[in-house]
Amino acid sequence: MVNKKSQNSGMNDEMLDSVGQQAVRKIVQALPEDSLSMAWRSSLNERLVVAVAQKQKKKRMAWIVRPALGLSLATVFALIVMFQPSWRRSMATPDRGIESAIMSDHHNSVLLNDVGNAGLNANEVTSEANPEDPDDDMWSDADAQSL
Amino acid sequence: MEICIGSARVKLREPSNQASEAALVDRCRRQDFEAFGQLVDAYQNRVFGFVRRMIVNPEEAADTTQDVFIRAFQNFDRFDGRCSVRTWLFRIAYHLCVDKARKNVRSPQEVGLYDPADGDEIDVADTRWQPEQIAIDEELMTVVEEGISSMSEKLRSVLILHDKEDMAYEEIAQTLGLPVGTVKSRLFLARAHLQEVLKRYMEAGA
Repeated sequence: MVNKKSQNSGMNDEMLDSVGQQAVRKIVQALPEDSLSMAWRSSLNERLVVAVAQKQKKKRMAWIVRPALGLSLATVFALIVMFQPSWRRSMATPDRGIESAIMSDHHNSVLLNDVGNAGLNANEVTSEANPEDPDDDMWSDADAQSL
Repeated sequence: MEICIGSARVKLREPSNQASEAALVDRCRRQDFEAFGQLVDAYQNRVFGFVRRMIVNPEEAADTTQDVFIRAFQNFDRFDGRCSVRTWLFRIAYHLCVDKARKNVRSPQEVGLYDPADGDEIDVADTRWQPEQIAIDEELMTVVEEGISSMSEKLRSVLILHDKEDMAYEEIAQTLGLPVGTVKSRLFLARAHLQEVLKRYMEAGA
C-alpha cells in the first residue's frame, strides 16, 4: 500500500511537470492581479470598529454577569441547605426508635457496672427507661394469699 | 504590493520576513488595530483574487473578502501560529466560500475528466501559448477565467492556491485539510480541465 501510494505520488509529480501542465500553470500565473478599492477598505474599517466595540461590550458584560451568576448559585445552594424539605425530617423519625433502644441498652449496661457488678445479673438491675417486668416480682400472688 | 489612492499608486511595505510577520501577528493577537491594518494591506488583494474565483457574484465576493478579515480579527487570539498567517487566512476564505456556494446552490458545468491516455496536450510551439502574449490577450484571459469558473470548487481552489498564489503542496494540504496526494491529483485534473477548455478555444478559433 505504501509502495503504491509512493508510486502514485511519483507518477503525479511527473505528470504535473509535463509540458502541457506547466503551460497551463504559466497561463494561470499570468492572470491579472486583483485589486480592491479604497471604498472597500473604508467599509472594512467601519466593520472592524463595530467588531471591536462589540467585543469590548461582551467583555464588560462578562465582568458583570459572571460574578452575579456565581452569587446567585451560591445563594440558592445556601437556601437549599438551610431549609431542607419536610420529607427529609420524616425519614429521620424511624431512626429515633433504634437510637433510643441503643441508648437504653447502653444505660442499662452502665447501671450494671455501677450498681450490680458482681453478684447481680441484668434482670436484677432495672432503669427508669424500662418499665418493670410484671413477672419479675419478689412477691407472687400465691405468696400474697398465704399471708 | 501597491494600492490605489485616487489616481496614485502607493507601494506598501509587505512583511518580508518571518520575524517581522511574527511581531505583526503578536500585535494582532493583542487586538492592535494598526497592526491588523498592515496585515489587511498585505493580503487583501490576494484573498480577494481567490474569493472572487470561488464566488461568481463580484459584490458578494467583495463582501466575503471583508468577512474573511472580520473573522480573522475576531479570532486572532485563537491563532496558535502552527501554520502561517497566509495559510490561516486562505483557510478562512475557503470555508466561507464553500458555505456561500452551498447557500447559493451554484452548479458549475463541469467538463468530463481528462483522460491521460488520450495523450493530447497543448502545442507549446503555438505562439498563443507564450505567457507574454497571453498577458496582453484579454480574450484569452476571459476564456481562462471562464474555464476556471466552470470547474468544481474542489479543483478550482487547488489550482488558484498553487498556480496563482504559488503555495506549496503541503501548505495547500494544510489550508484545505486534504492529504498531499489529493492536492496533487486535483491540481492535475484542474489543469487538464483548463487544457480541454483552451483546446476547444483554439480549435474554434482555427
